[in-house]
Amino acid sequence: MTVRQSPVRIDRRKFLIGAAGAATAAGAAALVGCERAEERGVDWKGQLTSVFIREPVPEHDPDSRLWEKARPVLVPLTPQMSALPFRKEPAFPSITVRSVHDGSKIAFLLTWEDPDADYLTIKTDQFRDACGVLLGPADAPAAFYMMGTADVPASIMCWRADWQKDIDEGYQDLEVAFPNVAFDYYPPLPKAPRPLKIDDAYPAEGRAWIIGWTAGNPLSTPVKPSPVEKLVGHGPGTLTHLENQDATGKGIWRDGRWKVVLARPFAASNPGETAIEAGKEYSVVFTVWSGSAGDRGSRKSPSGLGKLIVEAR
Amino acid sequence: MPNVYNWQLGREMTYRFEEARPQRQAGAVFDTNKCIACQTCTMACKTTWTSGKGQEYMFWNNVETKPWGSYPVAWDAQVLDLLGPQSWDGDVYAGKTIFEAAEQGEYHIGYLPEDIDYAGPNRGEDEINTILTEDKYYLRFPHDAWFFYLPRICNHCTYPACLQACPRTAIYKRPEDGIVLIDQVRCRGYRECLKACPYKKVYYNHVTRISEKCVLCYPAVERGFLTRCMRTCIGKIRTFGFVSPPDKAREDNPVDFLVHVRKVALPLFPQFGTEPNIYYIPPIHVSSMAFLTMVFGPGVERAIQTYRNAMEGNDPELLGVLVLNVSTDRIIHRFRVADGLAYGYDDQGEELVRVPLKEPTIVRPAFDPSLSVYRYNVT
Repeated sequence: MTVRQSPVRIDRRKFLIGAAGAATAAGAAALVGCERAEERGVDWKGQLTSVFIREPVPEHDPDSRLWEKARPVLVPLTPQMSALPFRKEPAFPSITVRSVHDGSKIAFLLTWEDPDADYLTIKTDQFRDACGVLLGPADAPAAFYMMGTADVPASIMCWRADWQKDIDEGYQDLEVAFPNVAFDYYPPLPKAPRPLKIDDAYPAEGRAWIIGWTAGNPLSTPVKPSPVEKLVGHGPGTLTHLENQDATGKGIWRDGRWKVVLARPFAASNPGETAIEAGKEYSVVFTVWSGSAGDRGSRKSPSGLGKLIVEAR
Repeated sequence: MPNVYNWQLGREMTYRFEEARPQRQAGAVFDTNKCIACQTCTMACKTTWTSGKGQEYMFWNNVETKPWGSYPVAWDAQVLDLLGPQSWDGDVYAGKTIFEAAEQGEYHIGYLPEDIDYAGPNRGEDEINTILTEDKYYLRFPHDAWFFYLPRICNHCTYPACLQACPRTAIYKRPEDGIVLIDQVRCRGYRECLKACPYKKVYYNHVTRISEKCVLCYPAVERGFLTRCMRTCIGKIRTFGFVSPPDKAREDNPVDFLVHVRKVALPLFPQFGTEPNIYYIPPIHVSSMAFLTMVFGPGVERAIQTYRNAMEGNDPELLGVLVLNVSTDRIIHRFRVADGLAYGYDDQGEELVRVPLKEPTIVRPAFDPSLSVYRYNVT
C-alpha cells in the first residue's frame, strides 16, 4: 500500500498559512525553513561522530530528545552503478544522520524526506521502503562500500518498513492487499480475526504449505522479533542473514518524512562481525531504498564510504 | 560478459555466466496437435505444489489458447515488443536476444507483471484468430480460422534469464539434471527473476514475500518418475526425458529423437535466447506460417511436414515415440520400434512398456453366453 500525501492535509496547510496573514506567513515559512535546515544538518564531509551519552541509547524512539545531543549531518546519496542492475539516479538527494552511543550500544537515526510511505510488499509489483547502515574496519578498501569485500566483511543493519508494520500492527497477511479474497482451498488456514494471531491463522499443520517460512527464510516469517535485521556481506550478491540477531530499531513516517532508528550492541555476536569500541574509528555507509520507485536489492541509493568516529566515554 | 553457444540460435550469444551444461538436461516435448486444454496438468500441478496461502494465482503449469490467450496477460506480446525486430538468416538468428537487447545497467530486457495481469488465467480461451464469416472455414486445411492450445511450464532453460537476473544467485541450475530451482532461504523477494523470465514462469508468493517457480517435480524425477503434469496428461501429448545438445544426441532417446533426429519438436520463442528445454510439435492445422515461425522459430514448415508424414503411416519410428507418451509413469530413456510395437526402457535397460503402433480393433459378439446378456459395442 502506498500512503500518498493526503490532499486534505495539503489544504489544511494552505488554510493555516492563509489565515496567519501574508507577513506572518512569510515569517513562519522562513522559520520552518530554518528548522528544516537545522534538522537536515551540515555536510558530513565523509565523517560522522557517534556521540557518547550517559543514558541508554533511544533504540526504539526516533523522537527522543536524546537525539538532540548528536549533531545532525547531511549525507549525500549517490547512484548505484557498481553492481548490476543499476540505479542510475539516487532516489533522494540526501539523508540526515545522527549517531549516539552509551558505551555498550550504538544507535543511528536516519531521516529523509519521502512523500510516499511504502509499508507493504505483498503484491507482485509492490516494494518496501528500507534503509541500512554498513559498518567495517577503518582501513577498509574503497571497494568495501559495496557490501564489503571477500576479505573484509561488512556488518550490516537493515530496517524494513514492512517488518515495522508487521510488528506495529500484526502480520500483514494476504487480506491486507486483497481485502475481498475468498478462500476455502486450504482448510488448515482459517480466516482469522484481526489482529492476526499467527498460531490461530497458521496452525502447525498448515505451515507446510508456506514454503519460505518452513525453510527458515527470515523474510517469510510472520513474527518478526525486530524491524532491523543483522547481515554480513562479502561483496555484491553475498548478503547473508546472521544467526544471532540482536539489532533493534524503530521507523516512523510522519508528514512526508521517515525517521528510522537502527541500533546494535557494541559486542559482535556473530563470527566475522565488526565489534565497536568507544574511542575508535570505523568505515560506514548509509543506504536508502524507495519502494514506490521500485527499489530493491542493488536498485538503491547508497552514500559514499565514510568515517565513523565513536566518541570516547 | 562471456560468449556462450546457443544451438537453437545457431550462434554464440552473451550471457552472465560461462557455458556450463548439466550432466544431463531434463526436458520434454509437448505435441500441440493432441492437447485438448482439459487443464488436468494444470490442476495436477496446482494440487501438488501451489495449494498454500499466497499461491492462489500461481499456475506453474497452465494451458493457454493461441493466438489470444496468455497468462499473465499478453506476456508474449509484451516481451516481443520490448525485443524489437526478430529475423532469421536461415537457421541462424539475426536479431538480438533478451540479453543482447539489455540497456546499460541491466542484465536483460523484461517487465514486471502487475497483479491484475494474473486476473484472467483463461483469457482468450478457445478464441479463434479471426472473425468468422459465411465461409466454410473447416472445409479448407490448414484452416484460415484457427487456434491451438499451448501448455506451458518453466522451460528449465540452459541459459535461464531468471538465474542470470538474481543479484544474490539464489537461483541455481542443478548439475545432475538441469532443473532450475529457487533457494527458498536465500531468496529475498527482489523479483528481478520475475522481470527477467520472458516466459513469466516465476511467481511472487504474497504470503512468504519471496519468489517460487516450477520445480519440475524433482523428487519424482530423481526416482525415475514423470512429473505430475506429464503423468496425468489425458491427451498423452507429453514426452518426458532428457535432452542432449545436438552433437551428443542419441537416436534411441525419445526426446533427442523428436528434437534432433526428426527435428519435429521446436523450442518456444527461441529468439529470446534462453535455450528453453520444453519443446513443441507445432500445430499442423494453422494457416499462418508467419505466426508459427514467430512462436517456434524457422523449423516450423519442416516439422509439420515430418509430422504429417508420420501420421500418414510413413514413419513408424516417429509414430512409435509418440504412442509411448505417458504410457508409463516411469521415465523412458530408450525406445525401439519393431513388429508394430514401440518399446520403452528405463536407464538400466529394463523394459518398462510396450505399446502397439496401432490399437487393434476388437468387435465383441453381441451376446455374452457366460453372463447370458446382450452387450452394446460402443467403441
